Amino acid sequence: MLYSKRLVTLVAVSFLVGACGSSATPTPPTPPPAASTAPSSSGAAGGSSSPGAGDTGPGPESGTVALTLSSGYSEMDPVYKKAADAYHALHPNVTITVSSTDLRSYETKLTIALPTKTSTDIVEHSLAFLTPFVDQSLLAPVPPWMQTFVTSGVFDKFVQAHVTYKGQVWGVPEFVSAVALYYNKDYLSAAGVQPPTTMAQIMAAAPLLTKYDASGAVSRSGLSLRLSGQGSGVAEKFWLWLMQYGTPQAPIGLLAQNSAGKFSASYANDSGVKVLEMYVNMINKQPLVDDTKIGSDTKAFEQGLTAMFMRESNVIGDIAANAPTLNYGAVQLPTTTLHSTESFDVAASSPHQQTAWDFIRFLMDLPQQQSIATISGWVPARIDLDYSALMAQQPAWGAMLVKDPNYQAGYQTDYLLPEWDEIETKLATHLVATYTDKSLVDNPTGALQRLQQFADETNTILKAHNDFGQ
Amino acid sequence: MIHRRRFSIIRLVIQVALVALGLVMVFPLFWLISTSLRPAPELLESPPQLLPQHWTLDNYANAFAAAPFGTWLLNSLIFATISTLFILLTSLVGGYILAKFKFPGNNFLFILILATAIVPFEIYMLPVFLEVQVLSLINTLPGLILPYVILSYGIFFMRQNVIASVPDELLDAARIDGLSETGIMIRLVSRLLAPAISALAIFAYLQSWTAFIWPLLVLNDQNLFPVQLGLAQFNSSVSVNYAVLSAGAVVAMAPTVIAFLILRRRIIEGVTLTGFR
Amino acid sequence: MASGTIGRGLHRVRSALPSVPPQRRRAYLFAYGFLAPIVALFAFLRIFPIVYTVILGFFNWSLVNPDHTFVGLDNFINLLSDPNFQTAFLNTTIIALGTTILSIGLAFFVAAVVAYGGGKIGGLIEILFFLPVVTPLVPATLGWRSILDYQHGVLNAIFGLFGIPNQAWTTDPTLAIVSVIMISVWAQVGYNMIILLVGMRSIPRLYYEAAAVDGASTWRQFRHITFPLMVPILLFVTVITTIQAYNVFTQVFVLASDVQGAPGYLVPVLVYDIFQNGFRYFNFGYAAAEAVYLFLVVIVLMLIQFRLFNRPTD
Repeated sequence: MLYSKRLVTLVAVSFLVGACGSSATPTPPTPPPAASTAPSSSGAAGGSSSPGAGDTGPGPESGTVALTLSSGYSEMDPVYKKAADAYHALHPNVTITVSSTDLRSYETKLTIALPTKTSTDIVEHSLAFLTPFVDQSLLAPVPPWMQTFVTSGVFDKFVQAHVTYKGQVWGVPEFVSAVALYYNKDYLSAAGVQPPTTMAQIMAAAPLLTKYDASGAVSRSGLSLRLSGQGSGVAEKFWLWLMQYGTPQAPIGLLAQNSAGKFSASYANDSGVKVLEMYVNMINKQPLVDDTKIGSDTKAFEQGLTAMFMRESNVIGDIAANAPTLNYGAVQLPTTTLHSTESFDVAASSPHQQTAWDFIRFLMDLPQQQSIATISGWVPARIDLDYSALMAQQPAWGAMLVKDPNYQAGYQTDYLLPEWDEIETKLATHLVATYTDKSLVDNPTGALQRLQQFADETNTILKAHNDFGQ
Repeated sequence: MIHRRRFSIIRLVIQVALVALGLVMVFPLFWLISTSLRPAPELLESPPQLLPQHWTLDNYANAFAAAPFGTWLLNSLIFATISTLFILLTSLVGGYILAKFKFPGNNFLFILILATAIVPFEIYMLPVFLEVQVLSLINTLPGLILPYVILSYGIFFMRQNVIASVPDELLDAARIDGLSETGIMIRLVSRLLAPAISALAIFAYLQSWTAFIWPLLVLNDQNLFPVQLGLAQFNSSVSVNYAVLSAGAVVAMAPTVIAFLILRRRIIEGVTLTGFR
Repeated sequence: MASGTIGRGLHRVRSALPSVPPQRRRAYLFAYGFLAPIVALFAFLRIFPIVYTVILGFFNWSLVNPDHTFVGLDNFINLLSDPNFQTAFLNTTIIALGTTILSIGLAFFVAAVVAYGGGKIGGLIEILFFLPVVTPLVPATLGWRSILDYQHGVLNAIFGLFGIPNQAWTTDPTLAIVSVIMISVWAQVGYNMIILLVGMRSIPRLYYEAAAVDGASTWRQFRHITFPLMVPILLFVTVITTIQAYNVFTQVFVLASDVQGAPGYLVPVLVYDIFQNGFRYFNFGYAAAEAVYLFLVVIVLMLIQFRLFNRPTD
């Protein structure tokens, strides 16, 4: 009763959101997916209530099934646990154990667990990270019914592309991350600065927003740069700045792909130099804008130690939990953004693949998708969800849910290369060491030379995997 | 007289300085304990206070609620106990046989054992990992324990001790008395070597209790983690504040620290006797 | 290969068996019977892995890819020009030298005071300095990280009393190495002190008494009696400490494991790089070659010790 009422709303919303979500394609997505899938999802007896939908599976296995799921996002832990309990209530024979840790530990564990066939049944990560395992058949292919579901239009085309590798769907999109620029409203208005929407505005605003203590040291950064940490985080932030110097139609990435599908490093150029010089000057050239010594990232933002920084939507959830009184906003990045998709995958070694896929399908249902946004702050992957309530609650979501086709055209994501992780991590190590190099202050020639060295290493790695081509 | 007086003042100053330095040495431990007993808001005080203003045990309750520290401690206990028993057995038997039985290759084997004793595990951990993988023991307790069942230095150490404190005459007399070889080893040799055995046991226990890189490689399931690895993972999870983390750290270090405070004479003697840590 | 030699050795033992006097035959059966499993374990868990590490170094070998190709010396050569390896090797060497020099210097000083002027505080000093040795490194590093914290750390608070501005102990590339050395010295010094103390206590008092009668000052006694007699022990402690310090890992791993932003891969060290190459980039051969270089360092250190040990002390 209550249920069916909500269903009607969802169907309506799915049309609306779907229509603007995939505005790149003129027609709204094929039949209201929410309508056909929601009933089965809520577990109405083995999906029998959606005959012919073709996007629900045979249900869980019978008999006692102990399923395991691991994750690299601690903030997703409560989402999974809540879903596991709900699933267990529907299927008492299935118990699901969830374990979460931070991304770095998780990636380490995955790289050991998958090849040794000791991983959890369900793993989650971006396909870009998982490609080496796909290549070695260590992940189970998506069953046909799930492939139907993934391609049925419930995900936008970028998201769908992010889980497709060598023409086959390998995972089910879980949540997406789009990076936006967060700003502290109080600091901006105190400095008389409007939320910046171009690179020139960002560069001009950052020094105005920086504060110094009596000794002249930075006490509040105007723009918090990612100066160290998780390899992918460092490289991706550099990449994001790089993208802002291109156009959505001709985006600049860390790699460029030639017509033969081969890759080469594409950051040792003018744009790369601009970005590297921005980093080096902001933390080494007086007056400083940011400092390695001062706190950075989400924590610093929550403590009021920085005025602006670039981050994904999960910050919204983190702020809601840890700094609910913070007066902040977020704007989309000037040109375009990185848009990556975390996906659920099933280990080839899992003895309970059928149940695993069924649980994943369950996680795709609206109650679970909604709790991704409300509990973790990540953007749920499905587009047929009513975000208006979220946006009313926190307008910063608007910067994450950009529906401008021009902006979307420049979306980039991690490259689907088995060696991508190595390229990214090694580049990040060099970048971290280079940012603090004072000899590069106002020294574009030196910066280019340095980038050229890193690009050589990137190309060497690509060559070692036969993926190199200018 | 004056000279002497000045000398004793210098001595006093040096002694005081040394105790002060000693207090610096235990400060990290003190700091963890102190942090673990204060409510979270006190963490951000500046300057930091040495002692909590409001004492609380909540952080311990929170740590145990947020992570399976009980299971992790139990795993460490199992790991350390089994490893120690195996190392004692293999070292005692191996050392005794190498010391008392002359056979071709004895000397070669001895040198080989001595030479490998100094090679750090990190150097050959990759092939050990592959072996454990071939045995399908990745992510299992036996796989965790396997590399820790022998200790080259232990065999060497026992051999030297047997040579030093088990006279041949005693062995021959025991044989004439009709004692079996196994009996000789269990009843006679192990009794004569009691101090060496306890020193080795202490070392073996410490070694597995503090092990980190091997558990990190071989275990994925957090229910199998020993407490050090568990603590490292606990440290990595986003939502843990420093007070709760400190409580976890105190739990992970308490067993060896308390054991040391109780058995300190024996442990320090053990270290001086074995010469390893 | 080495395990094969053991096998041949055992084979010879078996064929030699009948010549053993009958009454001792039972004893030898016991010996071989019990030694065999131990030798097998030893070969399986020590000899084979060490040898296989070297062999792996010649292969392109990955955990995910079953095709292993022989690449000759490529891994070894490529490593030499790999900036990651160079940085890691340099960092590790700095950490190892810093840890060794500081921990032994400090340990020697403390041991000398305890041995010759400790009075009643000797026992207390032993306990205070040895506690870090029995403290597992993971919790210890967490304690240190809190002390070294930029904003709320005790160390910066103490520095602040002297008007020294806050230092970024864990995020500045140079200071991060200093911090790792600090933690390593802290963890090592108690052990070194105990070993040196044993050595000092074993020097007969008679020597000092004779020297005192001859009017030698405390410094001269120390310079001409204590120091020369302590050289072999110092050497032993130096080699052990250096080898251990070259394997620094846990401190760095835990220090680097802050969740967001903070101390990242600022201090790459050898074992960490081996770990990354082997398990993260699926390049077991490359990682093994790196381990071989680490092995070479250990061998050189061992040779130095043997060479110096065998030199008669005057």
